[in-house]
Formats: sequence, structure tokens, C-alpha cells
Amino acid sequence: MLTRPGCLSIKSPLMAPSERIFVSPVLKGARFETNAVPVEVLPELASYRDIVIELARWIYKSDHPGRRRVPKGFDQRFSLRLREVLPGSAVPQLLREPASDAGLLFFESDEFDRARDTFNTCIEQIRDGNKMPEAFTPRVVSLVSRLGLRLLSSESIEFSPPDGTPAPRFDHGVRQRIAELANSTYLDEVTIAGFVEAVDKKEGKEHFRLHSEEYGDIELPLSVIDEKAVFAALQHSSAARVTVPAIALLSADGKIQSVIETGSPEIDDDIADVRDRVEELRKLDDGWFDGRGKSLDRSAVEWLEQLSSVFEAGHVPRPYLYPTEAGGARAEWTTRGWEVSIEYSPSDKTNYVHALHIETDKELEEDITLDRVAAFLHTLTG
Amino acid sequence: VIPRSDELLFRQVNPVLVDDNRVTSQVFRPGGEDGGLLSVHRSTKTSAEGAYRIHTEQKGRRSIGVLCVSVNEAGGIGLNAFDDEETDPVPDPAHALIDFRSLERKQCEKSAKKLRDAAKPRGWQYPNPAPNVLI
Repeated sequence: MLTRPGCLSIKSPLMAPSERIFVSPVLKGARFETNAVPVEVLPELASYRDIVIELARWIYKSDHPGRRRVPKGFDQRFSLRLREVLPGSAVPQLLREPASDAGLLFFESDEFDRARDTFNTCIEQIRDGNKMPEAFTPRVVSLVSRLGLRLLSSESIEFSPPDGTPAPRFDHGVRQRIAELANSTYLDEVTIAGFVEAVDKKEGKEHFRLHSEEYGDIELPLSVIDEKAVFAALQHSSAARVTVPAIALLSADGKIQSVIETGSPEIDDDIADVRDRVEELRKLDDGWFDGRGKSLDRSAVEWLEQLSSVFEAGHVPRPYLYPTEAGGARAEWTTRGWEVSIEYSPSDKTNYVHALHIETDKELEEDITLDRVAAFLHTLTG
Repeated sequence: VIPRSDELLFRQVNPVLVDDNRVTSQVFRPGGEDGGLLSVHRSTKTSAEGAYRIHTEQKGRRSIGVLCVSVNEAGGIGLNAFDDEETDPVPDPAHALIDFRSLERKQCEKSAKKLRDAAKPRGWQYPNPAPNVLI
């Protein structure tokens, strides 16, 4: 039945007793608001079927490491039919038909059901910015690259399983990310931040080694950078951190393969200052505030160390650190018109955050954990 | 209650409450044992130096220097100040208090940040030369 030019609406309330719902692709976007599926989008469902089959083959081989091939007739066990389109954007119901020899086993979960769930897990991992999942072999990736070709940039599909588990969104952003991950190496501008560890002599050439939180240990030849700055960093203190802008060859999982070109390193004194301040506060004695003021509780020292790590990882601006009279700790920032404080109380383990915009008097208060401080500060400063 | 005016209220800064040249806004709110009252000195009754000396030399307390806000600035954010002449441990006739007692935690934080911001433009009142500390 055609509901409007180019749109196929299939309504069939009956499902044969031998069938079961395999997946309900939720199509979102302006074209699907009439609860109908434009016919040009239907090949997406066939692309999805091909991916499920390939993933099921991978799962079978993983379960049977001694076998190089799947059993004869494996693919034929998987047959999908489109029976109806439910409302809620457009939600075509894909039913799975049993193979002729399946019998009662058809109603038990098999490699194809696991493939459906594996696909969603992989998409979720990619959306979260992780590396290419193991299940996304080059063959699977080539099939996935065909999925979503007929979607507009504002549209998406969610392949919802029948048990109602939320499915991740598959859209152009995911397609792009997969394409990026699939490329074996690529050049990119990076900022390598890390601690100067040593200067080595290798094959007659001097290198300095940087321990980077993001990229691991990186060796950079002294010849391509400002040598004096590097030696100054080494003499500064064991906590000296250097930030080096560079153009690097990166692997698909974002690891640096080689550094092509570097700019001048900048020495970050704040790291050492913050570490020194934590040490200073750790050593405070009882009575530091004119006879009152408790020394810092051990949990408050740990809180400061944790905050210091968050700062060193580059997630928050340099915090200014203070003790509280009750043996707790406090950090403050002045950023873009906001005065922000977070105070840790050892008695009830709370982290009270307060932010005031001095000009507008806008105020925010929350109790959040340290791992959410970065997000909170970003909210304020856009 | 001290009437609204441009009179200054001097506040001592404990050196532990300065991190790398930055003063915490905690300096401008009462501590847990202060009963919601912030200790200051009145400029009509003493100088910044006098307030510093009585705080450090006579009362034996620590201060890196003296900041100040006006009675008007405190009143502008709803804070009253009143005289609190002390005789113990030493005579301190210029001593006064800023009243935070009716404030919830959020209001205390806001007021402290506002007072610190008001103190910034005037800078250090004592010693001279000023400590190498931003406010």
C-alpha cells in the first residue's frame, strides 16, 4: 500500500506462529514522521542483514577456534522478513523465519541473535570514542560502510532488540568514525603533554623521552626541538611537564606511530606548584589557624591528590588549593567571570560545589564527585 | 549595627589561606567555630597597621596582611556589621563583626565571594610594601 509517493507502508497484524521478532529498526528523522518508510531506504535493512550474517560467522569461528569454516548451510539459517511498520517515527518489524530443519531449536538464542547484540555493543563502543572493536573485522567493516548510505545527515537508525534493551544510534557521525578507524594510519596535529623522563643517546643521536598520559612513552629527537628548553625542563624538577605541539602519524586506534614534525615545547610550572601545594597542606599541623584548624584528614589528602591528577591529565584548569578548618580541603578557580569552589568535607565525604558569576549573580550549587568537576567547569565556560 | 557608610572594615589574612599568590574566599566567611560572625576592625577606630599589630603582636595570631571592604559593600549584599569591643585577651576597642548568622551555606559562599571581589580593587592595606600576593 502506498501512502504517499515513494513511501511504502506495510501493515500486517498477523505473525505466523513459527516466526519471531528479530529486531525493530527505529528510523528517526523528518522523512519517517508519517510512520512510513520511503522505499529508497529499504536497502538499509538488507545491508543490516548482511552485517548480522558476517558477525554471526565471526562469532561461530570464535566459539570454534579449530574450525576454519562455518558449517554448510549456516547462512541459510538466517532469513528475515519485513511484516509491518509500527508508529514512533517509523519502526519496521523484522521477523525471523525458521530454516526448514530448525525445529524447536529455532526459538533458542543462536549466533545470529548474538550477532544482533554484538553489533549494538560495537556501535556503542565506537560512539563512546573507543578503538575499533575486535568483532569489526575488515570484512564486517566493509559491510558496515554500506549501512546508512541512504540516510540523510539528520537521520538515524536504532536497531532495537525484542527484549527492549536500548539500542545505540547509528548515524553519519558513527559512519565517519568507523571510516576514520578503518584507515590504518593518518596524519594529524597532536599536542603531546607529558613528563620529561630522560635524555638517551641512540645510534649516535640524542632523544628525550616524554611520558605522556595520552600517548604513552614518546621519544623525540633533540635535533627537531629547542634543545635548551628541553634541558631547562630536565633541570627544573622531577615534576616538570612539557607540552609539545606536533604533527604525527597515528594508527587507527589513535596511537602515535611516528612524530613527523614538532614545535617548541612549553614547560608547565603549574604541575610542580600544585604538587608542592598538596605536600604543604599534607604537612599542616593541628592548630594551623590561630590555634584551631585541624590537620588534613587522610581522605582530604587523597582528595587533593585525585584532583591534582585530574589537573595533570589536562581536564581542569590549575586549581588553587586550601585547607578548611574542619580538616577538609577546598579548590577554587576564577574562570570567565565565574568564581568556583569545591569543598571536600571529611565528616560526611561530600563535595560541595558552588559557582557564582560575579557580574550577573547567577549561582549554581551541587554535590558532585571529582570525576564530574571537569564537566561542571566546562558547563560554566562553554 | 554600624550605620551604612564608606567606613572600611579590615580583615586579616592567614598565610595558609593563600595559594601561590591567590587568596581564598574563605577569608571572607566565618569559620565553623565563629558562630556565623566574621571578625574585622573598624577604620574609624584604628588603622590597618593598628589592626595588624593587635592581631599579630598582641593576640599572637598569624596574618600575611590586611584586606578590607566597606560597610556599604557589606550592607549592599545584606550583611550588617556591628561593634564588638574586646577586652580579652587584650583591649581591642576597634573590633567589630560582620553578621552571617542568618545565612544558609549557599548564601555564605556567595557573600564570601562577593566580599573578596569587593576587596580586590583596594588591594592590601598593610603592610607597605604590600605582600607579593594577588587577591
